Amino acid sequence: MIKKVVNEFKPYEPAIIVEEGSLIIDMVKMFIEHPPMHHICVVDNNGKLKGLINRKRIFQAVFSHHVAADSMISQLYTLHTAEKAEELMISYVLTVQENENINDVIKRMIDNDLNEIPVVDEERNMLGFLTTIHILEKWWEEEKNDQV
Amino acid sequence: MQIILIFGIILILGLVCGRLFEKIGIPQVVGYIIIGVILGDSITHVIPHKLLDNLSPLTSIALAFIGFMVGGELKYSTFRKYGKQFFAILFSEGLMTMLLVTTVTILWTGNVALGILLGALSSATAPAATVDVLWEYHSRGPLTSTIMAIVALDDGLALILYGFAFAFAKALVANNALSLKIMLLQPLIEIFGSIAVGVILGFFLDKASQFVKKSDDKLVINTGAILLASGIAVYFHLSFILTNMILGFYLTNINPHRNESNFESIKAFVPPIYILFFIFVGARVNLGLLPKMGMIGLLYVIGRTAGKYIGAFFGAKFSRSPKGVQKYLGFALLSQAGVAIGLALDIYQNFGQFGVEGAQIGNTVINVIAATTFLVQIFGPPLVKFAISKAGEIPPQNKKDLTSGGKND
Repeated sequence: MIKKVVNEFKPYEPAIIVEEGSLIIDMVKMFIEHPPMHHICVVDNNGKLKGLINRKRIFQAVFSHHVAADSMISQLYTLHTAEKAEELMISYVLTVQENENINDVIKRMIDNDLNEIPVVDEERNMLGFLTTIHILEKWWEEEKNDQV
Repeated sequence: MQIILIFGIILILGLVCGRLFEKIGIPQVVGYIIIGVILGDSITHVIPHKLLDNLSPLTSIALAFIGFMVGGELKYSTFRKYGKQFFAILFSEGLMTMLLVTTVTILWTGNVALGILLGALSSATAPAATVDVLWEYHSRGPLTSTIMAIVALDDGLALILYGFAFAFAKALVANNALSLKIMLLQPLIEIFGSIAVGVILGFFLDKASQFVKKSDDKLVINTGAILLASGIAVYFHLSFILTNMILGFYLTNINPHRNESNFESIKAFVPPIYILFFIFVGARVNLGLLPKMGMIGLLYVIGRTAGKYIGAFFGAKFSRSPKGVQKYLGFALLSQAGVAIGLALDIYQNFGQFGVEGAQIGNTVINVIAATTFLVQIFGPPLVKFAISKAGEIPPQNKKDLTSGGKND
């Protein structure tokens, strides 16, 4: 994986994209229709990435009554009352750009326990997800070629 | 008995007892306090008073963590949607409760410092015990949302009120000869000094958090910042609880999502400290004093219940909240636990140095708060259930629990 950069891992995993005002019920439907997807990307009117919502968070919001009552109450409040994507999304999102070294990206994914990471351009437009499977696939191909 | 053995016993006993109480719908904190009472000087003497005095730094650290976590709940972005409505209710119920409890205590005892301190403590509510009931009945609606917002915010208000009350009461008890001007000035210096230290440390902790990615490192840097904030506050005679609350408040508002993991790392770390802390509170309860304090305790409960109801009613009316919120919110804000008990211990530890009057105030506060916590846990949860049921926020499929006997019946 020496000297490889992110854009050599194209095509990225396509992202489900919704606007900030999208309803949670609609996002549930999107997850049902796209079972492999783990995240929904929330974008503003200009298409720029504002935040992510993962499947676990939607699940917790729908079944908020089962989240431990001694969790942080402000988080419980968010899960219990959120109706729209902007209310539920996590806006602190780790992203990568296409020219970044893949080894730096792998380290970031391992350090932060990520299975996939959003790839964005300089304007923060969403290009897709780079997943652990993409990276393992490339690594496997390299290993196979080395053996040959 | 050797101290490490005592720690091991009380941690395991506390956990078991806390879980057993939780099973019957009573907050774990109450279980910890009962274990403390049993192990303390009132009954078995396993935890002697002298040991408790030697362990006061541990209880101060627990209070610092409590302050930090309460600050972390005060997230403006979470509550801004109904901000004006919530803040009107919050200030109305918090201040009305303090006013009534302070008034009845002063009228009964003639002790202004005691009245102000009990008044400040009375505004705090126990979020987990309240949310437990909402969850049990899958409650949903404007009253449920308002209850959650108010219980999230009013521990913060209680810490602010306590900051003023503590400094003012301390000035009253310690400096009888000083002028009114100095008595008013001292609390202001203490409050604004605490805010300044909290903000400055929050600024640096937020900047540092950008570079700290590993959860182990996050725990270390956050714990370090909390201890640093506490140490600086103590050195400059400021309120270390308030300083840590401002530190948490700064972090959660300046970068809400990035700093969420700061609170998660601390939350995962503190349970053993909290268990020890609340058991030590129980160990300080003097069962022999309880009958003498019966009337103050009763007045405290009556004043607090009336203050919460009247304050919530007028706050909700003023902010034009739905009728269900106006009529029933006050019933759902009565549970009391961690923050009030923690602050009671802080008073006990700090007022002991101010002679007989100070020690008497400390003893009264810790015994009144511990005893009334039991009392409000008996009628608090059923009243939450009453409120959400009357407001029509229990879905039909969960209503059967009301007649067949739920966990809190």
